[in-house]
Amino acid sequence: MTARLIYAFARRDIMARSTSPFSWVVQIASLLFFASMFFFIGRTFDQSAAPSLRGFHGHYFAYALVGLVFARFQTAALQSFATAVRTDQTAGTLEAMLVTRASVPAIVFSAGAWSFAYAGIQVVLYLLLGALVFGVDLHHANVLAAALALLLAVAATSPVGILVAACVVAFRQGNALLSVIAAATSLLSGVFYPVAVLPRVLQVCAVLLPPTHALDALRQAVLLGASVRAIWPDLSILLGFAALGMPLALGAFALAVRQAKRVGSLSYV
Amino acid sequence: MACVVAEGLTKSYPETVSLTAWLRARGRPQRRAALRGVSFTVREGEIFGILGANGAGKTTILKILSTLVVPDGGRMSVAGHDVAREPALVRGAIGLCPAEERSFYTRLSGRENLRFFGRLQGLGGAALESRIESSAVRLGIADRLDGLVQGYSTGMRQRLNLARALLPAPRVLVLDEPTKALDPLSALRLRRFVREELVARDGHTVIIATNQLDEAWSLCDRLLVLSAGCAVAEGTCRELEALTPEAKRAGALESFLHLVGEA
Repeated sequence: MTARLIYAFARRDIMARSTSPFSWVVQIASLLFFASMFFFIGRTFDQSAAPSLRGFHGHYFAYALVGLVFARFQTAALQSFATAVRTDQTAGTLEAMLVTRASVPAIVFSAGAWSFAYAGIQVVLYLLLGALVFGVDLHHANVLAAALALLLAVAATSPVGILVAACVVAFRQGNALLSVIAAATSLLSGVFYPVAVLPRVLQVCAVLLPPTHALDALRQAVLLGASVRAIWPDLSILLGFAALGMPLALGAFALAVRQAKRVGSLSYV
Repeated sequence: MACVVAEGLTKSYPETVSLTAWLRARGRPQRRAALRGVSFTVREGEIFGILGANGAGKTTILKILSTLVVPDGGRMSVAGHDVAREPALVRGAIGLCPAEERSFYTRLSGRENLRFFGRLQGLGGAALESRIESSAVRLGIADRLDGLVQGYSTGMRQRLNLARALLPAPRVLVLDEPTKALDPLSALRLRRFVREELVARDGHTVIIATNQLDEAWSLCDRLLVLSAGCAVAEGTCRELEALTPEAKRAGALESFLHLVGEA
């Protein structure tokens, strides 16, 4: 059932986008522009101007490219579940979905799973652009360690996305919360610059966020070819966040659905 | 044989209030009663109408029936499954045709919409394609099924709505004000389709919520009349008219007004 649901959502999204092919062009163009922007920012500073990047051979663009890859997955983890609910609430299609045999959690997770797959496609495009157009050396990348880091990063950050989806189900609000969380994560967890450049107090805050550890592990694996064993300290922290956060988020989501069914607001706009 | 049974259904909703009013009420806003102990029985293979003015509680009953809302009190079962305890089994037994006209993805074709919702019903492959095709042919939308829904007329969307509800071959079809936005001729065709095809030929049980007296009187085998969340009468049109002998001659409207205490 779940595979069929994921396929249903993937097909729905692809078919809807295919009616306006321009949206694909816009997406690819925006990837290219973002990657180019960070490439030229990297060229603005020579290697000596960025001592905190020495661990990564001083290449800012390669460093930022991994940040972009992670940010894409993080956006999916944070937004996909809430967006799945909110888009159909406002489109008027949610009620028709909720009276099918599929359960509410199955619908939300299947829609979310497709978003991760879509994020994966964009990530491959980013990496191809980085390697083929901008000359980032990915020969040493440890693919297994990088994939594991991404997987655990998604598992550790998804609970926040599910909690926001619970807010959308219960209060039909949540987008503003998402913007704040995404901005705070970008600021603190070293998506585009090393955490080391932050003031001491913010560095402490950064350590408490799963994305900081995810990015650290991902950069070590992609840029330095670190093994799973070498990045295990970061991975274990991500595992801990996921193990604690996931049951909490799923419980909150179930509670929100029950509350919405009591109040009768499940399909309200 | 009873197909849907409701016993003493009660439901109230919290009033939507401003934050200051909510604080004044100490987080316990006033509640508005939508259903006050409503009971009724729908028999297998009949067209059962729920008739009432706006706000009488029709949609709340349909939402409880569709497991979108849980009742505060009482119980309801569909094909022997309790709506609160076995919602998945209940959803498997019903096909809902919502009143909401915007319940499709307008940038997808009618066929893709039916495929999407069919997969959510657990259908797939050749079985799904064949059900889509047969529903579309019966409802007369087969030739437009590959066009985008955004180009469909209201009548087309309503027929697509019905095709979607029929996909899982439900025992009970639930129609929420199905002719609300249709012209008289389209409404007549739809009623005929419900009566001759869905009930007489296929043997579906149909529950229809409506506020149109002529529709209720001409289409339904039996009716439940609601007023302000209370069930004021249940029976065939003749039985309802017999309850109000003083209005019998004047017809359905007078009978209805008497029943809901507005005469």
